[in-house]
Amino acid sequence: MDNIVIAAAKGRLAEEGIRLLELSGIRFPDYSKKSRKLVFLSEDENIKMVMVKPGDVPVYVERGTCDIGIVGKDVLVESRANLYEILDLGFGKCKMITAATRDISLNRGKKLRVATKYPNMAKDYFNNKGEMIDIIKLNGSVELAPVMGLSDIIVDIVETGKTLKENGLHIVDTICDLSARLVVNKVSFKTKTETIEKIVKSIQSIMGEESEVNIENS
Amino acid sequence: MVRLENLIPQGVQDTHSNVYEVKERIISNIKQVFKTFGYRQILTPTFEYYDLFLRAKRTIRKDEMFKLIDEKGEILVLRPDITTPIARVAASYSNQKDNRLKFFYSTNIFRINRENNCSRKEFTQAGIEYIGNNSEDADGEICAAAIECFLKCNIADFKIDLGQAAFFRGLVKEIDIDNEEIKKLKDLIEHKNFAEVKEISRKLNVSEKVKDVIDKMPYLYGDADKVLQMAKTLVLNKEMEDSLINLQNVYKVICDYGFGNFVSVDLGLINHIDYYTGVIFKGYLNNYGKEVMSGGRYDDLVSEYGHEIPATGMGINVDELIEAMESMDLIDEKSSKTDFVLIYTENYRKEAVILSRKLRDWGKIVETDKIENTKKYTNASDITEIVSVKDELLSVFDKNSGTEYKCTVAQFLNKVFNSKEVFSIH
Repeated sequence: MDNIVIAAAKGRLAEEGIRLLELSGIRFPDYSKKSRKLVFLSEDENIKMVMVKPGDVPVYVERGTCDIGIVGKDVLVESRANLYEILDLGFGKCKMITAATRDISLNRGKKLRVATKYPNMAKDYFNNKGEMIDIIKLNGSVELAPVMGLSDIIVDIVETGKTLKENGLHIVDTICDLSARLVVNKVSFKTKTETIEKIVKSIQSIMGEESEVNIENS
Repeated sequence: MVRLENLIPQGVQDTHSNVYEVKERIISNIKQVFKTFGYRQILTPTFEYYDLFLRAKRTIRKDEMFKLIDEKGEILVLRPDITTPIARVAASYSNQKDNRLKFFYSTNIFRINRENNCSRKEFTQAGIEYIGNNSEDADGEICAAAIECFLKCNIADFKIDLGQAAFFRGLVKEIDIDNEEIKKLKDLIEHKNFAEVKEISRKLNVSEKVKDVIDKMPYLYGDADKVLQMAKTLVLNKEMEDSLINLQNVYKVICDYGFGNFVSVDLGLINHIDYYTGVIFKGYLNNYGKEVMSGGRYDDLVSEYGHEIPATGMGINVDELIEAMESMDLIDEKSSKTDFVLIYTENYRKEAVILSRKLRDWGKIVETDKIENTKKYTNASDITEIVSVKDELLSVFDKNSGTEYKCTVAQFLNKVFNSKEVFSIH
């Protein structure tokens, strides 16, 4: 069996990812949510899990330092990394949206000021709409930008929309649905095919079982 | 103090002697393989017209090229790719119609890579181009030569992936969608995004059969026989059928070279499909996350320069190859050593210099210096023997054993001549 290194986006995605892996029989004895370790070995020592910042997952996997990554689709789209995007893991669901404090008319012949943590995503979206924009790259609390008059509109991810509402913003458009993805380095996929396929398949079957349970419950 | 990071731009680096020696050794191995297959070395200019690369559509993205402006205001670019200039050369040979042109090169390529902040902007590529032969045997030969290069570098743990551009192109003919959507579909297949490929195909206005083929595209990878068998059941038109026959035949050629076990097939290798017209090659080393070899058949490229000549080729990224070999512990980095340092008094300078010429004639690495500077050499680790030339007898100090002895020049030369030990790397 080949040695595999998995990079997981620190936080909820990593927790969910580890839960799925444990259900599929790959256990990490040292792991606990509170642990501050960044590297965990599986029981049989064949699989190593490293915790990295979400934005760094595509970097680790694209460069081949890690074979597999667990990361949100938002990060993938923004990074434009050249990877295999094998599985939609189905958790961490949210939406990429545009939102504003007042009604926005497009193509008004004046550049729209867009505040976002996702400049590439915003550029692609407004390009397709033929809208000229100025991007204002922010690092957090993007909702504040239109409230303070820094931008006309924002591009951001929402889960429940509560933060938007409480700050007086409404959704203008939904750009796309997002969720956690399992990505694989292109060369690892070719050189460690069997091992990686095995991991993917066991995760898939766990996901299948869980969704069946969900359907029965609902 | 001068800050060093300001003296060298990101993405380029110095190559120092030990690394350089490794690199030259590997390049010379690769070149040896190319030569024995009958390829002739060629070098194209370091910079050429920007237009040349724009005309060869979609080979290199505009923002990947380093641009310069010459004295007439023409835009030039640092060589972003070598296949395109070689195609230009080939087009100029075209009056000799039946000529087979077999070129090899080993040169530096310059490319801006914005997305990947750490990758090289200047790297060495060594490769071959076989122009004027459209047979499967030519494709097989290119692939076999690549494999020979890896073997010659003592690499056993590598894999070659074969693709076929025309298979997907044939499939596209069955789907009536615009270019933007084809691009999206291509991206998803290339990224093996099984789920989203399925989502797209579901929305397409095509028959169930075509949908099934689209859904299965990303799965067409792995063992060559298995994939070819599966792909055959998915054929929708002549173009797809022919592409598989061609792929199978190229695979057969590679098997006849005895290299079948290194090869697997991936029909989802389609990112450069606008450029490649037939079979596509990729080479990987195990446990190294980046491809080290890439190539394929590009029958349309030479015609951009006025003549239709089929062509196939591949290039090895030497810097990536070395890095991969380092990670596999395949590189023995011997530091280059000076065999003899001759230190002399001014009276004996002439004798010392004559002796040094004699030793250099035999291929030894020899340095000479005045006796006052002896200290510099006694402490240096990259020196094997120190020879003092200050009277009729030489005094020879062997740094490895720490012993010193005296002898005549003739005795010394005799000893060196008869010694079987290899002192230096030549």
